[in-house]
Amino acid sequence: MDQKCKRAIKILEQFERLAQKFKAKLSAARLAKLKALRDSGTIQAGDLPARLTRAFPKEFLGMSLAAIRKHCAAEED
Amino acid sequence: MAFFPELVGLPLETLTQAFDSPPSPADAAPAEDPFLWFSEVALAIAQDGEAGVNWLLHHLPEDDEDRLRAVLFALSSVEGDLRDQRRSQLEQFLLAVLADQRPLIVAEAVDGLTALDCADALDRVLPLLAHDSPYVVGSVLRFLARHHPEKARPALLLALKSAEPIIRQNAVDELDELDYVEALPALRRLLNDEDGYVRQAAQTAVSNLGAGKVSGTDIANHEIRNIGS
Repeated sequence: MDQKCKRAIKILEQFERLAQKFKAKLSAARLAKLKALRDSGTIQAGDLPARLTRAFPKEFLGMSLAAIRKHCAAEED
Repeated sequence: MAFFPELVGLPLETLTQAFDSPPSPADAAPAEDPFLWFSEVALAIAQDGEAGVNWLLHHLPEDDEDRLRAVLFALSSVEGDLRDQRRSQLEQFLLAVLADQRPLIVAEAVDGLTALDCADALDRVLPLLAHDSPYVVGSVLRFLARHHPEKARPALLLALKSAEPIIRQNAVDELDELDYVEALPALRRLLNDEDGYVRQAAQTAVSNLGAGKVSGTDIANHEIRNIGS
């Protein structure tokens, strides 16, 4: 899979780990909300703090996790 | 949806007042990390353009770690023509901050140098690989991976063996980012790491790099020996 695809998906799926890596604590309420968005595939980079998304590929801004997965799978085929 | 929707569309004057005020109103974002609030406010100020960048550079909250971190983040996130015009000034500012005693300030400055593509700051950044803080070491690994991949690879392989989970986690992510397939044997060993976040990073890296691409290839030990050379 394309490196930008991998990075975008990693950020949208593993925000809890990445926040800890940057010593930026997400509140329990915020985490619950973000996990629900992630699990439904609707989470977007804009839902996350900018500190976690500085390296987010610009071409995927505004796209949901589900849409990015679909786009990247199609690119791979 | 923005992380703090209440900041969207605010004029510069309101944003600067928010930056100088206590963190987000308790009813709006209870228990949020103050750094996250200030970093979003500072970023919005910087994105206002020249006036916002100047305000941040002249309102450095030296004694407030969360606010200073936020300023470092925001200034190094400036984009477009303004970034090109101010890059040298911002680089000098970030280099000066590398001497700060607070690890998270130093780490933010290194990440800022990475974001501003200051690859020539290598001589100043590389010694920080021996810093006591895992957050500083992590930022140096990110700098190396982005701007000096040939130096990064041996450092990252060595960092996989660090006693600090934050360092192992950073090393795994950057080896994944570099698409360094030769690291797969070492990465597989971290699939059973004692730290859950390291295991998650390793699972992703092993999956991304493609299990089976390397058969019997071990870590490039000669690269480990050449670290920093």
